[in-house]
Amino acid sequence: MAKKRHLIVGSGAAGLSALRQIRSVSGEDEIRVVTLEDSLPYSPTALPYLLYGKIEPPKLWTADRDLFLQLRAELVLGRKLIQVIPEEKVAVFEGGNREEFDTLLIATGSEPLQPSIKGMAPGEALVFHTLRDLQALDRSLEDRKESEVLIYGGGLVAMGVGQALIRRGIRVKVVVRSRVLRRYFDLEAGTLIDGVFSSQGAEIIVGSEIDRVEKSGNKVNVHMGNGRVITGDLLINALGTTPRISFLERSGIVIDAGILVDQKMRTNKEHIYAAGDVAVAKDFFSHTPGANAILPSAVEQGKIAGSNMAGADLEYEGWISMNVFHFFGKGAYSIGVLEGNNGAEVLKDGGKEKGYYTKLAFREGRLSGAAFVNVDVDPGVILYLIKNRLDIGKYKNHLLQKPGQISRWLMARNERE
Amino acid sequence: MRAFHDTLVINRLSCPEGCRACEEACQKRVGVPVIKPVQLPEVGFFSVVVCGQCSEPDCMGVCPTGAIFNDLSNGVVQINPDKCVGCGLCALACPYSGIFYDEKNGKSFKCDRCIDEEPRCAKACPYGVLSFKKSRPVIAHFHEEDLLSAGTGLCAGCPAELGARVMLKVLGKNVITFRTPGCQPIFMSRLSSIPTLMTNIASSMTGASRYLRKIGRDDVLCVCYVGDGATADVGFQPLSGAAARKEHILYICSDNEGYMNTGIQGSSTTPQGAWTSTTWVGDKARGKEVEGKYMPLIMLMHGVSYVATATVAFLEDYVMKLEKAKKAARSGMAYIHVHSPCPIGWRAPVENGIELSRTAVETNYFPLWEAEDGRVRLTHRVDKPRPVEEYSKLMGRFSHLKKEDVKYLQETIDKRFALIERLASSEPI
Repeated sequence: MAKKRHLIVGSGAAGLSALRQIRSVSGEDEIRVVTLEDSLPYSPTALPYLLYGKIEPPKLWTADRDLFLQLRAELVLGRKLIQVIPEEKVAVFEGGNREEFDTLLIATGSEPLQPSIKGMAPGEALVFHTLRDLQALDRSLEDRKESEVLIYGGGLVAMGVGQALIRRGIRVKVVVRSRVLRRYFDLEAGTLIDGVFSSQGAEIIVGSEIDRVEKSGNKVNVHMGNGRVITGDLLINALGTTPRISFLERSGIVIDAGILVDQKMRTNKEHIYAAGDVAVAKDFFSHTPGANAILPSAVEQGKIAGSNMAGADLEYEGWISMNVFHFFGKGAYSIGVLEGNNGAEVLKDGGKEKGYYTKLAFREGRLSGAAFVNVDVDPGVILYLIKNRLDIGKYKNHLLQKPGQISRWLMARNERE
Repeated sequence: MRAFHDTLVINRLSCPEGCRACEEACQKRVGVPVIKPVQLPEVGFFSVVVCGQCSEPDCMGVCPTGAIFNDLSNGVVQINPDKCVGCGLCALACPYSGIFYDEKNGKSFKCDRCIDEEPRCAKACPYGVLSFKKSRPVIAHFHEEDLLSAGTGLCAGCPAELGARVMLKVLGKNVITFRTPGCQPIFMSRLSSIPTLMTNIASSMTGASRYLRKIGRDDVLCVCYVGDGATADVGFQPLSGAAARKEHILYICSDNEGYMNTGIQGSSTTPQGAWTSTTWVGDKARGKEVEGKYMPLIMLMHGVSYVATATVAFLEDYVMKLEKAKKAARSGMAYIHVHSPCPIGWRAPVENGIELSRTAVETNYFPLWEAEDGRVRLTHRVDKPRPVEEYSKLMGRFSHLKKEDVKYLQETIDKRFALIERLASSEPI
């Protein structure tokens, strides 16, 4: 077979996972990884930890030059994709560079949502998504000794940055439209997490949107929809992200909240694949397309895309919503589908008084979702039970009472017998 | 090509309730225990979970700083603590309870298989639930020259051919083989082989080995691979004598429980109840009336340097015992008793040879043990032995057995195993 030229745009989790997979399937093909970033590959997930010095910046890189040498792939930095021409199998980059390819993986990730806020120029609010954002925030904090930072948003980025700033000794106010971590946790779990943040000195302001922002001297005054005014030194906008796909406008590639892909992570254009935060792939349970911009999905999707690009034939099982959040010595996990509707049986244990919370959702005797706050459990094993559709049957209550040990047993029983 | 690596094995045994020896030993090394006992009396499960050192680990794939790496030189998946940010995604990616988040340290921890020493958990495990399997013995003899000729002169499905082939691969060329009339895979040996009789093989080996010592060639091993007739019946006296004198020989008995080569007559190792052409089944007779002679314990009581039981269904165990026996025979006598199913004589399907041996071990019909200088040790403990009926029903020679016959056979097996177990837990004989 003739050597193929694979082009991967994006050096995040999906891109690197695809790179490794292509190389493991095909020893001969040419692989080029092109990224917008000026630095070696890194993951946004790791950035908050740099804010308070948990790791040193040089330890950030997920891949170094040696790895690219070892995988016989070329890494091209600082090049922004502006157009894809599927018919010609060409990708066009800013400055006029054209790259021809046999297969293309779009793994350009996401960028922060930046809604217009009255009183602020577009893009004026600090965001937290890239290394550059981190450095900008770092500089702003160094300029001010006694800082008070306002964070707009209640998702994992907001809470992760919030924790990092508190650990750095900065006062934090989190402004949330509804409540914290709503996407992953119900009200009871959220209250527990809120409580821990409050006990660490954070102020969590829920239930109102920002109406306008007013600057006076070095301070920002945030006027809320309900009339309240909150003051701080800096405002970080952490309302979420959106796929980075503006370059696809005239390409003919189908877009729907992201790039629509089939089970092989292929777009509607042959030879063009998408994976990670940009991809809209099928969901594990309903098989309907949706975005799931989390790192584990990016890795898995990159693996499927990479295999298929190199000529193998792998199908994606579908994504499962999941996340982990470790905060001030406690862990919160959310895995799978947790709503109680559609005939799911929901069991709960714990609560604010007990200091922990477990919630399990079952469908037809099988676990479909679980959430834990401050519970000794291996989240990967819970995910194993969900993914493998293990029949929990009469052990539902056992699992509720001892989730860690019972899930380990169910997994081991299935693996070893 | 993937290399073979040493492995920490979780055996299919139950931990005793309350035992946390592995966790404590692990804690001492790592600070945070990365092996976790799972003790659940409510469901009858007592075992442990620990990292299996995946070759393509999911934990490594999701790590946002590339802190997890797979060391290809030893197959151990490790975390670089300087790079770990403590996001916990690895514990979400691992389906097998192999990586744990420690809230106190704010980082993830996993088993590094005690990379620079023998795993402490396995060393501390008093019950053989955890063991450390070195890759070397598993593959060491894989590529050795095959010292049996191609093809087989034996009946279809006879596992003795595999037993002899592996034996010569492990022992190497520096041997003189001895044989008797009978089902003798040694006939196919490409090495020098001395034909003897069933009644005098042990004496012949004695003579040869003493001569070799006299001329300063005690590096040459005298070995035989002969049947139960030559061992337990007509050749017993010379064997007993050689054992009592502690001759420097390796005696391997391939026990097919009868005189299978000459018409399936019963021998003294034929088990009770078994049909042979001399232990009939009819209106009154129900196969052999008395228990089979258990040679390995008789040899143990001779005080020889090394005694073991083995089967080709557990090849690593067999190879390990051959290696020990080879060493022991330099300065004393070694004896290995190999369970050797005879599909023809036992009236079993020819494709079932290995399965018969496996079932014999798993029902405790044929327990695997060894004794080094009298110290008895079970080498393959069976957690929940299956009833002996699961073994007997595989063969036509037991098909006439009634319930009470099976019960009697079970009692014999249990009694014998209890004795071996007691020996294994006591001081050297």
